[in-house]
Amino acid sequence: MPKFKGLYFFLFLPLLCLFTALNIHFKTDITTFFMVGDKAEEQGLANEIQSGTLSKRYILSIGSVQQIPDKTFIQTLIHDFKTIKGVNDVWKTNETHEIFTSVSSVYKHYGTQLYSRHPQHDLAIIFTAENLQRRAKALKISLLSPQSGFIKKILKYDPLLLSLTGFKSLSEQFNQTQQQDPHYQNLMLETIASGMDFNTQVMIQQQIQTIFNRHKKNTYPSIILEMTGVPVFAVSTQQRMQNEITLISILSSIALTLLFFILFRSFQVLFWIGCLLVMVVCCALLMTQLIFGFVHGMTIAIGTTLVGICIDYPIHALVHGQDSNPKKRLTIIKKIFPSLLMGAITTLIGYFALGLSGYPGFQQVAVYTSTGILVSLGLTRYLLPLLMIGIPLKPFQFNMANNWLSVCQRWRTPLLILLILASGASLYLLERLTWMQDLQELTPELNDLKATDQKIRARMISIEVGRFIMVKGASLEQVLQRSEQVYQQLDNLKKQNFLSDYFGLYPWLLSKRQQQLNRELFHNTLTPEIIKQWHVALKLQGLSVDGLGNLDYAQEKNLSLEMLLKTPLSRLLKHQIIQHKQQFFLMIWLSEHKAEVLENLFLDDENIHYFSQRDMLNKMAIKYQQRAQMMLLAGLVVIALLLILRYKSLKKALITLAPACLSALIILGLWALQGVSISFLHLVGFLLVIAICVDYGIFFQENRGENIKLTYQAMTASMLTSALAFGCLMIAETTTLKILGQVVTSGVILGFLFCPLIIRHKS
Amino acid sequence: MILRYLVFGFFFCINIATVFAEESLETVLQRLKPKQAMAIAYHEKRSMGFFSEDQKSQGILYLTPTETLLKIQESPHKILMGIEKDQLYYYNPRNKQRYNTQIKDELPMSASIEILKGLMNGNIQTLKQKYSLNFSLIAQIWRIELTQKDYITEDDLQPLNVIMQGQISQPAHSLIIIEADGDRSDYRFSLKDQGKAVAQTIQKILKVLKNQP
Repeated sequence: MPKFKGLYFFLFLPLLCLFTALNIHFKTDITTFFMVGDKAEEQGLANEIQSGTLSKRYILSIGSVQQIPDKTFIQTLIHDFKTIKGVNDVWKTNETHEIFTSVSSVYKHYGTQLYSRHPQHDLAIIFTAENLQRRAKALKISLLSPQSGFIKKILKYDPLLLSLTGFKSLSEQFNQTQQQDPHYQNLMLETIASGMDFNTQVMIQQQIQTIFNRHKKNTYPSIILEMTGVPVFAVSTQQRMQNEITLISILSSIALTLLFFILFRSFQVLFWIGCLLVMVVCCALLMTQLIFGFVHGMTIAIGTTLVGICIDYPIHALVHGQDSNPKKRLTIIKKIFPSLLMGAITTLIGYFALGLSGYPGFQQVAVYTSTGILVSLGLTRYLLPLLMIGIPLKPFQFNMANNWLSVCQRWRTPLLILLILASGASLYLLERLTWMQDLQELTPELNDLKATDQKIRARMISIEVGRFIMVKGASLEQVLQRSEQVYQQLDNLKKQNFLSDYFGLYPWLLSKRQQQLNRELFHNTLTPEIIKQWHVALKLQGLSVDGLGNLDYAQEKNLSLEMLLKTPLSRLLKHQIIQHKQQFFLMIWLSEHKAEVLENLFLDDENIHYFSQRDMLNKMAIKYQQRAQMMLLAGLVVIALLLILRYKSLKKALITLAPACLSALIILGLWALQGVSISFLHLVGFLLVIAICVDYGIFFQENRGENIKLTYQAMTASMLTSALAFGCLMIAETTTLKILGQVVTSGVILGFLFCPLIIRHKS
Repeated sequence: MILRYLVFGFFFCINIATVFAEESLETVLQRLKPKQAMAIAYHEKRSMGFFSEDQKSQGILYLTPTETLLKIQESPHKILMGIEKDQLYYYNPRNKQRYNTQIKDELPMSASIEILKGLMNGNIQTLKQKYSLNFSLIAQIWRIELTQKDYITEDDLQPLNVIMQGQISQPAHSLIIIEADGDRSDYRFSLKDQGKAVAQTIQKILKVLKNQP
């Protein structure tokens, strides 16, 4: 009968695999794993980076120091780039043609709505006789200049050229901030799909390169194409991640299989344990999918270590059952099960704390691994004995483990003194420990891309892209009104030389309230006397009173963002407004400025934030670090409490916990000595070290098989699997995986070695 | 405005001595490019809807075989303007106003400029896409007329119309440009000088326009 149950499992497993394969939705978008924000504006920005206009734009820089790309070459490229499937638009970053077109076609109707942000003050100047004469004279010069075609289109509706008032300063700004390097032409390419849509973006990037290579082939051998933008970073990161997931998965599977085969030298055992692990992984995937709606690639990369942890329980069962009559294995497993359960609970506590550490991706890892651990434990207890019936197990011996046990017994006192000295030294060195304050240090693999990004941006504009002011509001109108107050404050900072310039939505748009006010004030201030003075000014310049004398300005409607977004101006404006969860955000770009002054200015205003991407990431790093410290401490306390409850002895609980804690302490001391700066990720690693090493302490302390050598043999096997699984992460190029790999591998090895030294055993 | 100068330069460069009755428009266009730097005196009269009276001015137009075009207005006051490659330069010494921009950015003439620059290169196919062309010889006067095909915009009244004419065997002596909004410009011109000295003057003026020492 039990054998039949084994058969049921054998039949059930393929169905489970199929069900899992059909129902899992994978994501490899790195930002969904790492991007997080507690504040609405941080979430809004994260969302924008993931799927907004910013995420869809590439900056392509074409040129070389030796050869300047000519106009026709660039036009051909623009034309061909536009034909790429999935590309929404391509334009030159210094393109002003369509801005001029839109200004003359759209704004000419809204002169009285948009002429000023300080209408009372400005109207008092505009309507003086002297100013009207100056205006008429400027009009005449413009009409006789090359700009006449542009001016004439506006004059019919806006004889005072009020609609161009704001654009005058914009034109100055434009000239000041454009740092066009003549050797390079920068293009903006906008895709339809989000920058995080990996497959589409890979295809687009390949086609961009193919088109460029085709055209440059003979004519422009030295011209190069460089790209930057969210999609470039996303594709590069995801490509590397996918490669690493595959590599780590394959490598750790091979390594664990080999290790397992060396241990048990039985294909049958290997097969059944393999089947159990497949079931564990399927259940973990399904649970993660059920809770989060998708499974992230990073979860799988970090989760491959799950195999190394979950395999521990069957290993313990098999090692303890190797000498027994197959029929008595169930009794043995029942006997050691409380230790396995306790070990599993402490590990779960570790992963639960990991889930609370801050990164959204780690919540997935926590769910994924916790499910895996529980399923593995259940299968070890209830299914493994049924599968193993009748299968002979070959006993194995790790002589090194036995030797280490003997050494610990014989040299306990001097070794303990050494350990205490090392721990004391580590404690002393902890003072020297430096914290990684900049999250960017966690992604050195992106340094090349970051350098290219800086190089390209330096060729085009002097705006500090990573720093801006974000204005929040429940409606667009509210955001616009608030931003108008901000412009005022920024103008003051400009006067005090704390800010060289800023780019908000004015002169492109004002709030409805301000537009209405502007219009009303204009008409209320305009008197027949002023009109008469205007006519005199026109006549003095030989201009037509019939053509330019009418100041009725009949347009009553206000200009809206929707209207602007239907024009080519949307290229310029749509990335400045973000809508996220019923909230609107307006970004005001800044050129050179004193960061602390701006930060302090808006410190007390919950709707206006000075935003520095780098500072935000660094604050996040500190926040994560504090949270990880808290979680490490909380995890330790909970595990200690649990052990005290179980052993009803503080001393015994602390001794059980000591190998884990001392291994973490000594590693920290070594890093302090080497000057390695540690991040919250190192702390997360320590959390896992403690969660896993406490298992060793429990197994060794409880020795439920009543054979300490056998228990230590089982611990050796399980330490090797954990060290191998986490060790495989060290080959990753992704620094976060590498750090986790280094910390946990070294931690579990030390924790394992300290157990027989610290925990004295009667036998 | 730019259009006027380009058209002016283009037509003036046609060596009328080679234009015979049997000649077609295509053969005339082949001889468009000036063979050397030229200085042409001009008189301009502009009738514009926004002015109560006609605006008159005079000055010198400079042309090079490399399609550089300068217009130096001497009276009623000095204004310098130039087109080199795709850049437009403007300098008004009276109010120290200067700017330079890509020709494409100058609206609403950009399309016409593109076509007329193509025309200066003898690219008649591009020209025929947007303009209907009429070449005629009547009573010792040659005449080329270009009429814009598509002109329907909210403010335009009529198609852009350009008429250039001159005596047979003589350079062009007049140019009329009637813009889409009805504004009209009449030019009269005469060859002033040509050769190396003119080329040097052009370089000097370009430096002033580019604000180079």
